[in-house]
Amino acid sequence: MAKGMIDEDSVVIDDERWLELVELTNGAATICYQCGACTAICPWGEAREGTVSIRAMMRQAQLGLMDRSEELWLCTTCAQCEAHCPRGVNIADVIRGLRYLVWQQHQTPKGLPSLLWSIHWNNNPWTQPPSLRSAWVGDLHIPIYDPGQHEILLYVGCTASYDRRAQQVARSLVSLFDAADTSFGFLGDEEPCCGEAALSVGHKPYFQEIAADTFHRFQEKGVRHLVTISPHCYDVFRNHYPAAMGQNCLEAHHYTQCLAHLLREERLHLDNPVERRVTFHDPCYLSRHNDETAAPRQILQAIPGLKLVEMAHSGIDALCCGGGGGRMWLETEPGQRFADRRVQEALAAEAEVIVSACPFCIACLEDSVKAQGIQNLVVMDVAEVAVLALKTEMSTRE
Amino acid sequence: MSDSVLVIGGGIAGIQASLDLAEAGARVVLVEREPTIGGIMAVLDKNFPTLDCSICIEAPKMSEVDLHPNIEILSLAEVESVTGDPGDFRVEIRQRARFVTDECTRCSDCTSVCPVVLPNEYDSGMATRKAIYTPIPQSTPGPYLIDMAQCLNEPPNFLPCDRCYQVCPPKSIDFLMHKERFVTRQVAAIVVAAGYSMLDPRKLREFGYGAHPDILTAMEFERLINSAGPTGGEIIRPSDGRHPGNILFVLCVGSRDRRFYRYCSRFCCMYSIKHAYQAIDHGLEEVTVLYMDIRAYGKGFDSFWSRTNEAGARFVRGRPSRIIPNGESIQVVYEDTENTTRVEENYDMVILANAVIPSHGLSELTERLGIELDEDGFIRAQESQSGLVATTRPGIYAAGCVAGPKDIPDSVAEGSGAAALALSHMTERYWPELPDIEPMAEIESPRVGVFVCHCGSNIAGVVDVEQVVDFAKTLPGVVFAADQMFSCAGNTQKEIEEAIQRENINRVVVAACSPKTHESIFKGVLIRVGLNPYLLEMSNIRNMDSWVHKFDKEAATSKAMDMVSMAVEKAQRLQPLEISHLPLAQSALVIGGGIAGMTAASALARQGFETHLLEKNAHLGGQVDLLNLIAPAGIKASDLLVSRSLDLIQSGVHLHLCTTVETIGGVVGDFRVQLSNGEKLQVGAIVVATGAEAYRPVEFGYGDDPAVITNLDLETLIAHDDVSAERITFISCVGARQGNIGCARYCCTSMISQALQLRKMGKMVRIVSKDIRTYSRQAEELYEQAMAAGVQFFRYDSACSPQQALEFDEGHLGLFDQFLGVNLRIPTDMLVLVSGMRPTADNLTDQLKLARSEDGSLMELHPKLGPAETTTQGVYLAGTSQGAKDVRESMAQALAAAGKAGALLARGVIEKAPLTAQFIEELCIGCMRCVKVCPYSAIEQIGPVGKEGTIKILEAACMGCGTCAAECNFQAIDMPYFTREQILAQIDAALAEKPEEKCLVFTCNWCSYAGADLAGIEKRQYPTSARIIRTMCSARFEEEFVSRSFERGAGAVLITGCRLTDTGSDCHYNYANKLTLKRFNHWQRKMRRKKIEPERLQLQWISAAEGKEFAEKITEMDEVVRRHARVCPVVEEP
Repeated sequence: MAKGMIDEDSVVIDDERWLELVELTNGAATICYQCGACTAICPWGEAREGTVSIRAMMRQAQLGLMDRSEELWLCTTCAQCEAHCPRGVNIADVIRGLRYLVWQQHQTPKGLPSLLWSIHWNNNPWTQPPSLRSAWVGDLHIPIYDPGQHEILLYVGCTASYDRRAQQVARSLVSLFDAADTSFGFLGDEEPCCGEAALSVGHKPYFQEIAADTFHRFQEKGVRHLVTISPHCYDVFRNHYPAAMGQNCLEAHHYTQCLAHLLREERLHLDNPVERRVTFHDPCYLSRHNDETAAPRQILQAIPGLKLVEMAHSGIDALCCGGGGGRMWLETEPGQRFADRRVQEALAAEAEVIVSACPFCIACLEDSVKAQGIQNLVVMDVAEVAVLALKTEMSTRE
Repeated sequence: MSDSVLVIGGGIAGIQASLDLAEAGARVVLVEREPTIGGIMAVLDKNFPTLDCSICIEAPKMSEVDLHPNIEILSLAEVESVTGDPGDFRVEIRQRARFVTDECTRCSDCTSVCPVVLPNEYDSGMATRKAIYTPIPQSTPGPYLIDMAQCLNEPPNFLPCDRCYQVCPPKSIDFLMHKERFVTRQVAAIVVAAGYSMLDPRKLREFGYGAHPDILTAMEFERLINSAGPTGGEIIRPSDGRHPGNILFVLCVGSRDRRFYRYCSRFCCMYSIKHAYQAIDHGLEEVTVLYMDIRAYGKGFDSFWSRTNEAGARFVRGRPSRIIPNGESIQVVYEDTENTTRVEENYDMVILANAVIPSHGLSELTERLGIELDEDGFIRAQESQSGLVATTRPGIYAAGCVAGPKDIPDSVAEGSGAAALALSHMTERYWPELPDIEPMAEIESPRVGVFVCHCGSNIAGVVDVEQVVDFAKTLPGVVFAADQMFSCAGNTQKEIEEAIQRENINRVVVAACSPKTHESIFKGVLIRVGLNPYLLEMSNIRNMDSWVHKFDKEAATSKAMDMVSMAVEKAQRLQPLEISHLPLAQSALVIGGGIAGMTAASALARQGFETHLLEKNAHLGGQVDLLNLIAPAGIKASDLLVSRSLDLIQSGVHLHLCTTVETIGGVVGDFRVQLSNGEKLQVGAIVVATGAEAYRPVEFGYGDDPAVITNLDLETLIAHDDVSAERITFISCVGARQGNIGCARYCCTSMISQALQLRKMGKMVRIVSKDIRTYSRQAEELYEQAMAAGVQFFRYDSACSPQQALEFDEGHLGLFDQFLGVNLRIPTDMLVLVSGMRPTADNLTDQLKLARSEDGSLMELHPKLGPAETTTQGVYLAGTSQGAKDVRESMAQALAAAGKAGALLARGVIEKAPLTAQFIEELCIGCMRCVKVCPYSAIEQIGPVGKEGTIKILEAACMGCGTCAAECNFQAIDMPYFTREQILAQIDAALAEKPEEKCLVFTCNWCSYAGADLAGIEKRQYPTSARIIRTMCSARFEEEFVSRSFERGAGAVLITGCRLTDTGSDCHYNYANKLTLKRFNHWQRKMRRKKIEPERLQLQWISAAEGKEFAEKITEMDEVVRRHARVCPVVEEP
């Protein structure tokens, strides 16, 4: 076996690239002992024929090797694997690091470069005009944030600003804040993109650039405490900005945490019964990445008449909707969509409403409900359900 | 001032420490939290890698503890407080009540009426016990106990219930006993051997424990495969009682896992391999083991792994992410990491190797003791003093898993080692003296007294005791016979004493229960009236008659009469035997001045013995002198050697540098040594610490290519800060894990420590290895640390040698990366070969009659329970001479050797039980067959072959197995208490009536007799045809016993003994049962020529745990007897 092993096919280990990757990922992969629990738990294992070996990706990162495979881009960074990793490897960090190596070689999947360009030109990843960022507000009256006056900044985020479905969530949230008599403001068209999309597809240097800009903008506006609609924005502010900025000057919360807080303080009252059987789909970036599984449930459980049931997988074991890790900008073949499985779990739990708290989750789940032609299940956001408990006459749609 | 030592914990480490201490003249207070000593070893089925039956080898030690006059067992007890200083600690102990007095006869009548059914902890909750119970059949102390918290009489029940009291024949139940009592003891030192607990696998939710009844822990599986367990040794699914078609073993469940315990639990790999092997042995066809690294670090472990592989077990490198119920079966998802394939499989049964964790309550205990715990919650060791044995408080020592996970031999070694250190704090020794009683006169002509016990209704309920007594009175030589309600009860013992004196009885037969549990009691009776204790014979009519023939009272009675007649015949031929006292020089020689030799020598000197340390070189330190840092603790090797050297000088060891042994001879207690410097020594004990040498590689151009060095070369380079290479690659297992050479143990950890040091200098460092075996304390953490620092790890095929798997050429190391499935080239400026160990050659082995293991290292007495002893009495092993070890293991074993040697030397004489072989010189023809077969080299040839009287039996070395007596064709050797004449008389008595309906069963004392006892304890019913004769070892059985049996018309003969398998033997006498097998084959050929059908003479190995197997075999033999009796009915002789 030994002789002839050193041939042209052999891969020579490149120390330079390894060092670069170690720097990009803080050496996240080094401690991996290659047990493969990550591969085994990865939801792609059930969604797709053939093995998506997360472990092999970790191995490549350990050695500083390029991963040119299509599989590298499948990862939704749902962090199921991280929860099961006996060595506590930050697998999502490693995946993003490997993706960056591919960016360097200009070999990324179609569509991703334009995502970065859109952020660059439009301040959002959705190729939408910056001037329409606050169009969702419509007839609502939301003041521009003033640190002297407002206790919180509502950070709407790109998706809730432009996506028609997500806009409804933003509007519901505004109603709730108003009902709780909260003093808050937003940044209107000047709200900067958080850069999560760039980070999720692995372009860490560009993310760091965006983060620096955004952070600078926040400082100019006197922002210290912000509440996000998307758990993805919440996650970068909370977990990646401090590292990128080398300081920890932003206090970020997810809106479910904020609402739960308002409930506890008895500033928000959800008194109107909502007689629905409801299940909660935990967004990965709320549950696994940020250990928040209680707040959304506290809100739902505060609503009279509402029956909260759990799906087979919930809390930190929740199944991913398939929308993270840049997957929102990539095609997923029908039959391989994670949300399909999730919707079936909701049906199995005999829920009438599947509730979530993330614009990506809402979009993926709703697509799946439509594609599967399911009639007896509605997809709603926590804020939308809470609004129902606020007023006596309000339909699920405006 | 104290002559006592406290031992906390009665598992195998605590048992070993207690026995060594007691032998050395310490009074031992053994405190055990549970109702019985024995610990976890007592409930294990077999031990790896030899597949010894666990309880078979442990039970004799437990009973030795029980009977030792220097040991006080306090069960159900815990230490409350410790005050004072080394040499003078004052210990407060709280002991909970048993509510059953020592009058308990262990008849189990109480348990059958107790209405409270509870899960039995000793069966991992898979079977039940009652509120009054005995944990295991071998429980020590023996009396039953009441679990008062569960008894109906206690709150919250308050239901008056005295069912147990009502049925208890000797009324030994006392509900009014004080619930607890406090006792105070003054001790010189303390040994903590509190063992370990296991992680509740429910905490790892993804592994599904609790979600499906067929997902079990390793301990539960251990009970499933145990004959004495809840299923009688059948592997069946708790869910539906069916045999599983396939089974999966999962390793590292909660170990090596940041979320739970980061350390390696050390012994799970091996027991899981053993489980896999046993599963195949039980007929399971699909056996899979999911592992990450197989840590088969010990002697013979790697070859056991390959054997299990060859037997058909499938080893897959991977770790499940999910184990969930899938209907009746269990779904497991994992990645087969060698094929990069996600696998979803269904299993009928899944076994989890859950992590070893600190013993429950250890932190409270250590707080009371005033000693520190480490970050994982195990006892913190002062490593540079004594490996892992010394704690942070002087005078308190740790042994076994209390200081971190450890397998049995390592725990045993630490038990002995802790004993050695504890002894150094003692100022006095205690030797109990026999009562001074006028010996009875007139014992020449036998006057037999027979006492038949009712044991309440245990015997009398089945056997007609009066009829047996009447029959006994008719037997020749019997001058007195009587029945007794409980022969063992205090007042009844008195009755026996009075009868002996009144009737001038000088041979005593007690027909009652097992000599294994009660002989010592009745020996005491004889001693008290001045009768030699060897004039007693017990007849086991309870365990081997009434308990096993409940439904045939008549046959049981007639069997009891046969048994009594056999005992009387033997008793008539008993002779008084005296314990002999042999000379002993109270000095020791330690050969080899490496770390093991240094440690052993000072520990011996500190016990007060003249100790000589021999070193062939001009300086001490051996291999450790070649090291810079000692991993994983990071101790400077030079610091360690300085502190050890200082200790040597302070303890007063006589140092002989540049000196070797010229000749060495003699026998235990009296070895004569001629040194190379002309000096002569006479010593009582010898510790061989001759060490091992580093393998000098021939691989990868070592020696020619300056870029290729060994790990020891690197150690020097690092010490001199002289590493110029930037890209350094290590290759592990060079000259280790190949052929007969096993794992070198120390090198993974040491290599990783070197790699980490280099990495910290900014080098690019790679390790190319087989399984990473960082099993030792803090070693897994070091491994993790090295990875985090950026040391890259690669795996090569563990079935290949390094040169088969790797190629070094043009500054690159080429290999196939198992993790990625591609060929890689690693840029390498310097290649470090991590080389294994080789045994050193010496001239001692032959002179001391030591054996070598298959890897060439010196062979220990027993791989589990005798790691520091040899088959040559008085010669002990320390350090790497016995097999590869790291520094802390070498030190622990050195202390063990010092403890063992110290126990031997302490008394100044060798006390020898009078069961050693007796030489009848005039019958010897000098054929030397006995010399060849003696398992202990205790017979010396003292003249030319073929001349009369040319052997000498070294009494001090003889262990009394009787192999020689059976081998001798000229009856020139006989075994006291089991003489040829006595056994033949037993045979004749057994076959006096209707011999064709009987099967003679020859048993050995340690296993098969204990197995037969257990069949009784378990009330396993079998036919009444068996007549059991006991000797010490199956190798005692002579051809004449067999031929005489058939001459007398026996229906069948069954030879039994301790288990002998391909992998090992439970034999108490160093594989003497190999001769049993050889002789049996010979007898069978011979009997066939005499037209005795082969099925009438059979051999069956029966372990002490195999009551069921014993009963089954007897049933089978009964069919043989019946078949034979039908085919050729015996014609009545005229």
